[in-house]
Amino acid sequence: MASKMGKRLIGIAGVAVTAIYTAGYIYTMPSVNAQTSSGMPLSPTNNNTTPGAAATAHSAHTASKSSSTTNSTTSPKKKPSTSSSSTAASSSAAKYKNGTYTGMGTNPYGSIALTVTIAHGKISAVHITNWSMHYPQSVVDPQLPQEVVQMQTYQIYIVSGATASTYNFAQAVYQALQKAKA
Amino acid sequence: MNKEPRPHQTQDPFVRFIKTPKGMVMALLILLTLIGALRPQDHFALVNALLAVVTALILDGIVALFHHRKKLFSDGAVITALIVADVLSHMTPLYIIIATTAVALMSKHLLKIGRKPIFNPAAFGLLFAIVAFGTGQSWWGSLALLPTWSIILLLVAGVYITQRVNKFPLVLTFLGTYFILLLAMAIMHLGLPSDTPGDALRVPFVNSALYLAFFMLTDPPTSPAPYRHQVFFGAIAAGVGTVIFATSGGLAYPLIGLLTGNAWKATLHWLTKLETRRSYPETYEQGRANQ
Repeated sequence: MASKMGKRLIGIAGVAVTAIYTAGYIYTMPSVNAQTSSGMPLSPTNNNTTPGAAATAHSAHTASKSSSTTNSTTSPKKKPSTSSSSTAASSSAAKYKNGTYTGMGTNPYGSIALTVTIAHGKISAVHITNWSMHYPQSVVDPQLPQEVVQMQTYQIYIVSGATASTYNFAQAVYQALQKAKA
Repeated sequence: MNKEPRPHQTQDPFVRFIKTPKGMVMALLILLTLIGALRPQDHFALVNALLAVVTALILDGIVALFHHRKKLFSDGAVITALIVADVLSHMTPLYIIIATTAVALMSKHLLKIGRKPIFNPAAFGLLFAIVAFGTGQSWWGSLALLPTWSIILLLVAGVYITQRVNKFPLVLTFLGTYFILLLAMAIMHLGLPSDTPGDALRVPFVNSALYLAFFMLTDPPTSPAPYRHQVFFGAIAAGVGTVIFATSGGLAYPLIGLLTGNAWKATLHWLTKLETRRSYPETYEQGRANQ
């Protein structure tokens, strides 16, 4: 059995670890803040930030599974996809049936369930009904639901620092909109 | 001459148990589980935790019966079950909770050298759950989903238990190496767009690293006792985990890092036994006979 490590040594080592952590935190602060505040538009020309990548992945996923409760074992990747823009475009251009539709997005980080309300063929409201993500709900709510209503699409801006939550959210909205399609 | 009973002799068994490192770990994990479940969305996670504990106790009870042990209650099983429940998302289907707990406990009984398990049972079960079921892991028991200040509670509990099990070199090396590598990743612009060092250094991800360091890495049977080995163990776990984080992202990286450290420790133990057997065959045989 090892003898006990001295309190002084523990203190010094603890301060060193805290200093390293603080250095990393401060160093990464500008990039995290910039990404979080500006958000990156999900441009079809930029594969790294393609809107609806989650939804595209979801649609491929649902080809074999009717439920979205099965998760991917990898982190949400922003996969290059030329089909996503066309899928997204057709989805946003489509007319929807009035009513309230549910959608769910799941990945290894957790799950999001929400309802999308369609009035007069347009998205009138999005409400998150269940939140089980690593990030606090406040990181994306009400920002993302408002974006969906304003932009009338699930192609929302990625909230950097909450990428997985954004993708899950987009996936859930996409699923609800698929149900609402006329 | 009348001898006064020593203080520990007057305490009831429960108080004595709580004061042991294992009892303290269990008490702190229960506390963190209850605090984590204060979030309305995580109330149901208590059901998951209860189910995991019941599953673990039944399985370890059966194993104890099979081995004709007198003690059927397994405190280690409760600790493993609580860690499993604390990590898995509250939306995890109940059958997956049961399966993950079962695999975790089976790894403890089947993958071992001598009497000691090779791998941290909870980490093994959770990695299995990711691979087999693709389960969501929220690490809600690390208070990751509560307000940021709650990380202080995790730190206080973690530092206390680390001191009790005498694993400060391991924990400090792990966290130091992990944070240095994340800083290096940030400086060199390494990592995936979806999993940045900035993310890993912030709530909620940093909670999971702390929870892993304090409550999983320090598991006495699967981590080394000598300080020198603790330092290597911590560095290996952090190094492997960070490389996987940088190249693949996801949530399995801390578990894989820990399990790699476990494998290194088991290999070291096995090599030492082999050396002892070769150099001192009589001592070795005597030791085996005493086991």
